[in-house]
Amino acid sequence: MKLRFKKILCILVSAAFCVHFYPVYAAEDMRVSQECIELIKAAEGFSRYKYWDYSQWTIGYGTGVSEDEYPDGITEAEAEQLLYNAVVRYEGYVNNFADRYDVSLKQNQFDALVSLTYNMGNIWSAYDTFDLKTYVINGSENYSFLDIAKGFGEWRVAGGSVIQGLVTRRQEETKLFLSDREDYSGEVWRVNSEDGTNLRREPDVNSERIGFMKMNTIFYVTEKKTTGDGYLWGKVSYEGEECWCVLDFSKYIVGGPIECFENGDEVSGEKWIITSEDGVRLRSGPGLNYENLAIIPKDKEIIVTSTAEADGYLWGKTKFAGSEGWCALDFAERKDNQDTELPGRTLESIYISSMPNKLTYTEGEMFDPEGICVKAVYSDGSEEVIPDFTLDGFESAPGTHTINVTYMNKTASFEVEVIQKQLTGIEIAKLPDKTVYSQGEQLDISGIKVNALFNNGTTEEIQDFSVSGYNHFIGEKKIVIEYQGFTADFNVEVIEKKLTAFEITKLPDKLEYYKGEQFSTKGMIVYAYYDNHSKNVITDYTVSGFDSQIIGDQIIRISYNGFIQTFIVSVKEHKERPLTGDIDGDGKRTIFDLILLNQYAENGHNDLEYDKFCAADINGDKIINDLDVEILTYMISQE
Amino acid sequence: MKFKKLFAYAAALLVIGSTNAYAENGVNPQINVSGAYAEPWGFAEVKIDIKNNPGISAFSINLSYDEEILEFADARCGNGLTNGTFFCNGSRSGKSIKAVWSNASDMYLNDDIAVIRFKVKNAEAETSSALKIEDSEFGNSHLEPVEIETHDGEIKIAREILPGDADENGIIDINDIVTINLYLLDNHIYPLSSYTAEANCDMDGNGIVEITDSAIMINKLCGID
Repeated sequence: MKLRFKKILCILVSAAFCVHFYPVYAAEDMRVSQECIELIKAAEGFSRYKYWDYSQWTIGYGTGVSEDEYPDGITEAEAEQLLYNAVVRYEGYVNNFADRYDVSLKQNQFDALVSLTYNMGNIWSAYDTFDLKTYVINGSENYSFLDIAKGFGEWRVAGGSVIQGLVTRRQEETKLFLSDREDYSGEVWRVNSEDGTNLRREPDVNSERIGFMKMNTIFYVTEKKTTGDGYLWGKVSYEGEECWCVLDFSKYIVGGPIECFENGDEVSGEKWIITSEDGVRLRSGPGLNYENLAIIPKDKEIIVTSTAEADGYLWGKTKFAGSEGWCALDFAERKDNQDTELPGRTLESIYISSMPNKLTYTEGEMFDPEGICVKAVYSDGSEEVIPDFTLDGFESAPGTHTINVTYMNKTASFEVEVIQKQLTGIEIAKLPDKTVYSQGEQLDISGIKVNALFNNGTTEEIQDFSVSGYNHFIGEKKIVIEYQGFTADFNVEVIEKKLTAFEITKLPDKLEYYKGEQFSTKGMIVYAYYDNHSKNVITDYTVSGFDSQIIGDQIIRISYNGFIQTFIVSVKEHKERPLTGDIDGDGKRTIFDLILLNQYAENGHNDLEYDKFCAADINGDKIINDLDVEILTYMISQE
Repeated sequence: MKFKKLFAYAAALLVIGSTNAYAENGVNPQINVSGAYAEPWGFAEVKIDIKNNPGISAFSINLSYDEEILEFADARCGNGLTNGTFFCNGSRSGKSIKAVWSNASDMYLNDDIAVIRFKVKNAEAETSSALKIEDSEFGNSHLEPVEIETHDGEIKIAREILPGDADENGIIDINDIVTINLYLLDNHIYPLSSYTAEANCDMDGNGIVEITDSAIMINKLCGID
């Protein structure tokens, strides 16, 4: 129990010791619910370490302990368990009270009374002068919300003064005690202003003042009205006379709902409640740059008649304290189930009074609700057109789909049919990047964009089309794109490519010849270059300038389509004829010469150097074959 | 007869169980010249085979012999040479021959590479001629030399060969079985008496007296071919 309650406890507990305490037994009857535990925890607050509270050491959630217990403090879990153990005693008080007076308590009532007892002791049940005891014994259902609230409210005063902590706690216990009741005929409020609140004849600050309620007075409100000055007024009964007070300075406790009117008319806007701790600024327009008119405090209910978005906020037009302006609804919360629920009637159902114009769709089409009309049916038999229902269930895929119309948790439905879309053609939306080709180039359709056209008016880019109509011949070509039987075409042009140069990028392997040898281009690579910046290897060039009988350097000319490139080779005399059979040139005939000769005879010897050829042509017939192998085999066997 | 068979089998098993004369060849490439037995004026055929062949594309082998005892008759390439060109010259010097073979690609078979036949001159019996590989050269298709171990052979001249007559008494009986098996058991303690006795024991004619010869001899004695 918190320190601030010391005073009241001093008095009340002293009184408690003077009255008869009922025997306390282990709770055999009712036990508190978790709701009660949570209420006590919230009201008591948590203290990790024990402290001296009036007459005892206290720890956790206001639980009494001995001086030596918990020297190192307590965890929240341990504190809750301690609370569970401690609350047994108070459950016993309430159970004994119920047994004694043969009272049947509901769980919420039991919880509320245990919370009260845990906080204040069981004095409330000891004296008949306390109304709460009378109400409970006689059956709380026979008393109004206001009676019950006042009954709990008797236990908010300590030492002749009201303790705000106790006020709040009694409010919560009142709410809990009445939570199962639905027979409310108004709202119970409590004056929350230290200055109290005036009672006036009319909901107008200039109206006659006929009374006054001080802070924490609990009263009944049977009607609410928002007036032109922006205040929320509540109609109350004071000494048998109806009067009005400003509810902006009071706090709602329990009960309701009751009608709320604006300027005498039914509220046509939405009810929102300010949730920001610091309140919300009322500005002259929907935006941060508008003049600041007032600050609407937290928990103030406002009526929003229109909205606008500006500066990243949703602004609501409302009235407060006589000024009409705009406030940011991002710091407020819209009240649920308020749309058209007028007092005395409830929404029974909704139905579709007029079907949408379009009930058949093609795959891919968007849903069009045009023509639909939805009506709400209320408990009083009235019907109204609903403008802000929601629609879901549409899927733009082939099949029949049920569209659900939802409004205020009521639903109606209808069906639409979506038929498969059909291909009606294709189109070339964008030509390829390249449409002019040089002779010999491959078709390149990079950059082309081909669309499929459907009967629902949509298009879809396709990739898996086929292409035909291109060849290398010079002229204009009609390129045909084909997709699922549909075709589209475009033209490209093939122009003749022109040789601009050619180049010997690699000289022949052999650049030195012996007299009589044939020229070989083996190893030579020649590129032709064209005006379309392409190039390719050519082999159909012409070679001239070589004479194997002329000793010395010779200029070889390579000609191709009028272009000429040259390089130099040399021709020299033979030194002497090599040893027959000495193919590897090591000066003797061995089995390795035989191996070489076998390979030449089997694999060919077109490019064999002259010296080697002479050595391998054992019989001098200018041919290297098996006969040469046999002869060389014989020769080696003789050596 | 039953006793003979049992004895023969027992003797054969004794040899099989005790000998370790035939060690497994290593992995090194080898060229072996086989031995042979021949009678005066007869012919002796020796084989040159290759083992652990790493792949050869050509070889030349120079094989020497005793020209007082032997005379080159002819030669042919062995079963291991399925392609290529082979030539063997026996008349070059009268005391050695040179066999040459080559092919365009490598040969990997492990088999005979040459079969050489010699004619035995009117030589005195119980003599022999060594068959020595004087020099040889091997190469593969990459023109790389291939190192190969060579093992020489020998041709032994017998008087008159009577296959199965291990004890040279002119009769083929159980005693011959005992003689060959004792030889196989330990040829130092129980040597055969002569080249003729060895030739008589070389039942398969491969130039070596070995366990298979004993088995052949037993089968022949028992009438099993």
